[in-house]
Amino acid sequence: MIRWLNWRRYGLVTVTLPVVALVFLAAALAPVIAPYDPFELDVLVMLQGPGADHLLGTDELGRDILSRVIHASRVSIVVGLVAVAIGASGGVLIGVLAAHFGGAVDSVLMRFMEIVFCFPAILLAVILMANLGTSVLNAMLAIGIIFIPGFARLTRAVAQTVQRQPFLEAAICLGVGPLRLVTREILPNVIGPVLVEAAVAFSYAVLLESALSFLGLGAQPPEPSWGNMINTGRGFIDQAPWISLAPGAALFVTVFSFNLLGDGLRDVLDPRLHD
Amino acid sequence: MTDHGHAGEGLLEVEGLTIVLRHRHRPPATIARDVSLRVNAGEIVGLIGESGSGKTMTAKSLIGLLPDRMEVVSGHARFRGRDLLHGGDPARVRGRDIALIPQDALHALNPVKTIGWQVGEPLQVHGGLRQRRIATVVGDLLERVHIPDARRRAVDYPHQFSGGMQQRALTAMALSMEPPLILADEPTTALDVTIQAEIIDLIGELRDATGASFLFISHDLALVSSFCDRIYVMYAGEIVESGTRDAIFSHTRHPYTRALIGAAPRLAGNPERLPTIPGRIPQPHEEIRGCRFRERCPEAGAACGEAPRLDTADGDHAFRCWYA
Repeated sequence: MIRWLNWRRYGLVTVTLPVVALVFLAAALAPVIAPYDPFELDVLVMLQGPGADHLLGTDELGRDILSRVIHASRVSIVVGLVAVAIGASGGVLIGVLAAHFGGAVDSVLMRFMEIVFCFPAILLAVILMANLGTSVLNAMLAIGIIFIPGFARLTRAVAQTVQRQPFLEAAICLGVGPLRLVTREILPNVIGPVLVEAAVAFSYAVLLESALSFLGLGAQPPEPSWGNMINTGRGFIDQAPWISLAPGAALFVTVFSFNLLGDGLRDVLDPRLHD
Repeated sequence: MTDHGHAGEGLLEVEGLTIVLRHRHRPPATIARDVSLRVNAGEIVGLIGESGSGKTMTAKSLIGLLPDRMEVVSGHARFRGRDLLHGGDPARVRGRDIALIPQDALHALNPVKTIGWQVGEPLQVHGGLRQRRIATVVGDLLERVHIPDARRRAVDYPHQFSGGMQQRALTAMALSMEPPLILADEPTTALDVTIQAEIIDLIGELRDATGASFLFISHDLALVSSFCDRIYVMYAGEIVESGTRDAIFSHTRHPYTRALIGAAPRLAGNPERLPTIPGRIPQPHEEIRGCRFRERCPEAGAACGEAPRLDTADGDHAFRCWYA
């Protein structure tokens, strides 16, 4: 019997999943739960500290910080999801092909991946953005491309160990063809580690998007994003630290809980840890 | 398709099969040399030899699963009169005509798929059955190999099964397409002795129930002696003696077979040291003139400088020795 309250196995997920769910919920229901319009200017209350009217204060144009933080989570979540989807699907495809065919195919694919790996992620993102143009859509694409080598390496490593397992030969002996072998026997073994990596990559994507927005390459003002909000607050850090602190805290909590969720998922997804 | 095979021919006929391992810097090494064997319908045939004697590769060559650098250079293998080695897609034979129960029971099941899914996979692959029907057949198969509470345990994962149960599940997998011939490649090596006995009993029982033939590959002569109809003894890539179980045990002719029987531990007598065969099995790439067992043979004489042929004594009993 599986004990659903096995703390060692499900503990991390139990703690982090609600936080992650909360972030997703905030993004999904942003227009409903945000107390103010994130674009609404109100010069009478500009640079106001946290208080009853504006829970997290207002920025230099009198916009409500809480509303902006909530709306900004949409950009982060969408960029994270799309970038991870691009990175994971591209990486898994390349990794499985490299492991399955080996030889020259493996060498060419993996050497190419290593070239991409050579560039620091943020630098590569900046280069890509500079060529693609600054927009949220291009940020997703750039971050997704950065993730491909990581997923490819992971998938290749896992697929290679799976490839040597006797159960593949056993399946071949019973007449399982090559395509089915990859999709039904190898891929299910790869999914677990890839999901764990995806959770970690998601948090990294959120971080990267914020970094790009901070540099002015991602979401363009007045569109709120945690990165460009932190950047805006930089100029007022002495008078109104909450402008930067609020989106910074949101960023921290999101990235931190996604990282822990990744660890937790590993414990849950490995069927060998089932008792 | 001929259901009965050609007159006087067995289900599986292997003749003069020679397998070599190609090497980049050395001349090719011979893995199996001039191997001939026959499996008749409904028979359990033992193929015995030390590790490295070529028994597994002989079996794998039949279903086209030799490793990359190995190839069959001469000989024939026919299944119901149909050529297995030349022409024809070996993938079509696998599972449907000839199934294999793999060696390493504990790693031969996919850890992330349920037992039931895996037992049903050959049925999925070869097609023709609906999902619902497959689930029923899988339940029947698991019951047939005596997995207790079979239908409920079909949704379990391999790690929830004991070693013996995993081997039973693998046996059920091999049975799923009701193949006339099943190659069992040391199906009991990873299991403890009591479980071994259960698997052996199961194979005998399945033969009686389904009429399938088994080619049982093992290094354990004592084990094979209990239930095989006929036995082939293989040494360094060659068949050195073959015959009915009785002939092999009661009228042993080849010194290697005698040594193997002598090396089996016994309860009675309780010697200080277990008898062993001195020396080691020659490597496939070693050049050996004359009999391949000569170096280790207690009965070797002058004639052994020349390679002996496989001689037939009475009826089915054959051996490869000058002095036997």
